[in-house]
Amino acid sequence: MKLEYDSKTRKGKLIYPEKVIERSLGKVPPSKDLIDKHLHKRGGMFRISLMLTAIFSVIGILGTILKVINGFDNLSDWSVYVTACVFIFTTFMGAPMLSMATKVARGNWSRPVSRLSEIFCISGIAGLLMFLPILWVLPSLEDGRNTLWFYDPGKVPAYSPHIWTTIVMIAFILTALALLWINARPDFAILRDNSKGKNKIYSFLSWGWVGSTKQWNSLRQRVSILGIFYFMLLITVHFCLASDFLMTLLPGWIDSLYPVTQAHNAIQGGVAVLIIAVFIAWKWGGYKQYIGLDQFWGLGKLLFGISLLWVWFFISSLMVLWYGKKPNERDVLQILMFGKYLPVFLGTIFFVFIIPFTLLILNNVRKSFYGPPIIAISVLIGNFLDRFRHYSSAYSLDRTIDENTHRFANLPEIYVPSIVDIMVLLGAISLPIFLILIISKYVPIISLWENREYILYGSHEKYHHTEVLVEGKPY
Amino acid sequence: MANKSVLGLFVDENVVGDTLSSLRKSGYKDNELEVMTGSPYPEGTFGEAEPHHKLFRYPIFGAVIGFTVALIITVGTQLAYPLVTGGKPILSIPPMLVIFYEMTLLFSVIVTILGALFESRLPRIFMGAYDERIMTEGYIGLVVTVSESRIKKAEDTLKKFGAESTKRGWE
Repeated sequence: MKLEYDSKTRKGKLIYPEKVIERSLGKVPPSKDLIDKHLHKRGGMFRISLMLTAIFSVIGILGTILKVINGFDNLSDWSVYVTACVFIFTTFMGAPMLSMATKVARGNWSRPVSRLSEIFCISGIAGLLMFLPILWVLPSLEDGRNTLWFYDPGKVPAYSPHIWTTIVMIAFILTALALLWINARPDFAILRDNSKGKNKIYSFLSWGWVGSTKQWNSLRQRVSILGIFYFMLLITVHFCLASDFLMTLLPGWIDSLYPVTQAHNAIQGGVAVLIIAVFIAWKWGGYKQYIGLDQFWGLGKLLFGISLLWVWFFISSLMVLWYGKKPNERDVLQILMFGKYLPVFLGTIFFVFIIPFTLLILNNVRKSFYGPPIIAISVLIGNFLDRFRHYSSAYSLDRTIDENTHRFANLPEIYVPSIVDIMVLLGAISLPIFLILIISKYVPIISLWENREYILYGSHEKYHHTEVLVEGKPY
Repeated sequence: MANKSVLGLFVDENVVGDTLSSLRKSGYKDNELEVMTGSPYPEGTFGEAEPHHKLFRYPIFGAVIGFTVALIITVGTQLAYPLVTGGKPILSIPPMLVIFYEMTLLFSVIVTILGALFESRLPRIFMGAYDERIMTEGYIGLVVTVSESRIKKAEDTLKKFGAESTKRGWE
């Protein structure tokens, strides 16, 4: 029988990555522990969550079917549905940006949470499924509304917004799924060689991964390329959704900043939803050894910065309409902010800016395990109110113009969701979570290879009277 | 004559580096040597050759196709239906930019994903010269792929430098 590995004589059996760990604080080779955590049977809480999200997803699908049966002609009937769909894109689909950005910038602190962030890519399937019926809801360009697209009645198709948004959406979801798979491939190989029973699935998913220098090199390159594509497509998806599925439906709303504002909101919502996922993994997932204060602190700082940016976008857009002061611009302000939707508007500001700003400015809140998740919930509530304020008002707008004032004859009342709308809402929130839970059975929620790499490049060293984490960043 | 592979398993990075140097001195070329690890070691840790890949070609190739398709669609439709809109020229660039951007991105993504699959080749059913301990226990694998006449010498070199075990890819 071989002896345990001796770092001085360099002999014996090496239990990875003991050699590095012996210089750091950890005592147990983390990869083994992480593999066991991933492969062990899930607890009761996981099963209950899976069951509940499955039930709510089915309820959501039923709600969608009822809406489809009711027809696509009445726009206001679909206002909550569109809100819910866009909410998926401004929260769940923003979360992977953290992994992509920190990988490109080579930020080590996010390694323990980068896989959690990538797993959110799977929620793109839910977003795409919800988006499809909206293609029938959005009127064609025949109604004469302003548009970015080339259109001529009877000669050029009136469905450019539908076609181009679908194309960009497909590219976005493809990129997201490719990123998830490429990032998880080394982990599938590790699980292929460690697991019993699921071996065939992992064998297929690892797609011949053996860990050669060329494969590692390719992985880095691919993640960088696709990460950049993901960011570009995130902006483009929100550009199309915001301009074609929202702004053109509110006559007079001409603001080149809003599509980018929505993309920014998606990144803010993404960080918020990721903080909650990280908190769940830390508190109840059994990953306290791997997720530390560093991750909550880092995410808290990020949320703080993005929340500050929210007010910049808001003020910049407001000024255009406020000082423009044309009748239809005043209408837009009335519809979105100061009219019937004033309470929703105030709620948005309170939850999405005031709460994060006033609380995250405090170091002891930002640098804590409970502060950022509580604030993240507030940001998500604010994000939903923001989507509701924009999309439900645009979709329930009566477009009759008063000929004397050249303004809308009737401003929309706050849309009160029906039972079917609530069914759809439940489904829209549950379906991405259901997909994430299902995929987490196969994809480890903490990246095995990134965790190894983290340990490989880092060690805790004594520094005068304290101990510091020394992290390497290879070229 | 078909090439064959032999794998040596090591526990120490320095030993792998020394073995690699020795194999090179014995006349083995860089493309005949491959290091396998369970973790992404920094490039050059073992003194291995820098891998050459063609990954950047895929997105560029896709982008060129996408841009060309977008150009054909936009220019083609506008020339087929020459309608003056808002007093602007028939072929005005700003409205075409959005479609250029979208199609360029879409094709780049598709070709990059196809490229990733192509570069990975098909899934390996037979793993060849590979050992599970690379992924499970952190061993470092050094694979030599040469003609049958030179495989014995390579195997001996791997053993001489302290490979814990060797494994032939064809067995």
